[in-house]
Amino acid sequence: MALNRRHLLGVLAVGIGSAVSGCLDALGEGDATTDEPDHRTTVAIRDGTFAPRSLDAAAGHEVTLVFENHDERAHVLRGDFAAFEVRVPPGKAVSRVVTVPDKPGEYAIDCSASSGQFELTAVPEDVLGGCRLDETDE
Amino acid sequence: MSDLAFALLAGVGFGVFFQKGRLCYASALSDFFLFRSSRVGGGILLATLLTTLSWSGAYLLGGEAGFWLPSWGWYGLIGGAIFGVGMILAGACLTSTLWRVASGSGQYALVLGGVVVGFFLTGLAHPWLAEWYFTPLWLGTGTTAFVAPVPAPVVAVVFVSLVVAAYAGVAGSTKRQFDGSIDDDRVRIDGLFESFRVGLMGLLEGTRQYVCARTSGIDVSRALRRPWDPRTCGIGIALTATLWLGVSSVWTVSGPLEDWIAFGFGTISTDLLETVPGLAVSYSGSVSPGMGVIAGFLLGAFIAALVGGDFDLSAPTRSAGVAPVAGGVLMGVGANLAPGCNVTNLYTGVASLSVHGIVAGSGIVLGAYASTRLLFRARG
Repeated sequence: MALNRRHLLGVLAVGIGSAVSGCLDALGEGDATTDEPDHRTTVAIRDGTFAPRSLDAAAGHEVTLVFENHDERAHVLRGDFAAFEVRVPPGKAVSRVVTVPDKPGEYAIDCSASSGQFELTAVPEDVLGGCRLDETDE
Repeated sequence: MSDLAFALLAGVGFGVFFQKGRLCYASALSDFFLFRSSRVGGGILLATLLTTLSWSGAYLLGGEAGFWLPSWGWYGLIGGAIFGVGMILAGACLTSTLWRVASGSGQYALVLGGVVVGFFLTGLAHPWLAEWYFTPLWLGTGTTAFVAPVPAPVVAVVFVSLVVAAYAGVAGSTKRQFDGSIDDDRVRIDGLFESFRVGLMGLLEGTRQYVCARTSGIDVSRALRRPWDPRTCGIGIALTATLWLGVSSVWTVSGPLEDWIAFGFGTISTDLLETVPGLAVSYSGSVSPGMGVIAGFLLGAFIAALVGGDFDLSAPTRSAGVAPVAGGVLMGVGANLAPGCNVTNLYTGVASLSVHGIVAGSGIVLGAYASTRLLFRARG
């Protein structure tokens, strides 16, 4: 009986471990996540593609995006939210403060000169973080 | 005095009042649904309404600083309903679980264990919750009725008046049903007015008796040993919550409780903590004032139980089956999916007239109603 329990615990531990590994893998290497308001993220543009490809940011907060253009041509980036438009000359870096939309969801920043796209995901961080109040006090 | 020291003190106050008043949201709701009894619920309602009035003043003076006004959506209703079902199944809300554990109950330690499992499960699901749960169910950014273009205390007085009128109507209707006089109603609207009148008279008479009993002298040694009137504890909770708001922020339980669990895990091993993403984001490596309130709550409830002779280390009973643990798991899951527990939503949320609090609080009441009906009909 004791052996069976140990066996069961072993199976459960392996199962939970696998599930956790799956969770962590699901985040992916090309994604970035920030829960912090006023977060600064550097996005490299190479051959018209963005790295990281996406950013999860708290809805309604401001984030600073620094676009580094490693290509030999300029990139003009436009967002499908608000009036976001920025020109990044070749070999230069341009910084913009972006207000993440209040409505949670996926938003895109497209490059006119390539098929690359940067995805900005507005996350309802105020509920995702549970009812913790101490961090939000001013 | 530091925030943490004051947090401990406020927590002791909350713990003493909850334990002495035997305050429990689960029993308050199920007693009302089954027997129309408002003895415990009246104390909780009084605490909430007094807090609404005092916090409206705080809002007027200091804006919304310190209020928790998260964005709201269907997730509040769903998570609240899961929490409400769990509460009835476990036979306790989150706060009454805590004061019962502090009174030595092994049965409710099982419920608390279930809550921890619930936190653990939602902690594992954390990477997907934003995309698959909160975002599609989101309806609006967080706000409160206090933003109305009139002074906040006016909004509070209107809200309190409406709740008192509804309470009087229900209480009067219940009294008239017992008397049998409700059967004589010929016109429905006249019957409603009569129920309201009877309820209001009962409320005034009850208040008069309550005040007279307190002004005719209090036997302190007896008061320390005996449970307190839930209304006294309601007033005490409202006062404590108002002082606490003045120092730090509104009172919540499930978030800081989860922080303690993350703190425990993180202290043992940060590698272990990282295996549960939801707990990992809760870990700050230090004790926050909110966590201090929880520690104080347990201490206050323990002292009150010890002084009152209620402290009794007891083992769980087999007859309850898996219900305590299952109910605890549902409370833990619901508290993260709503988010918020009975205190966060039904007390703090409603008192601050937060849209999220009212939506999630409605979910808790609906879940508690459905499970009370199903559970007690099944048991006959």
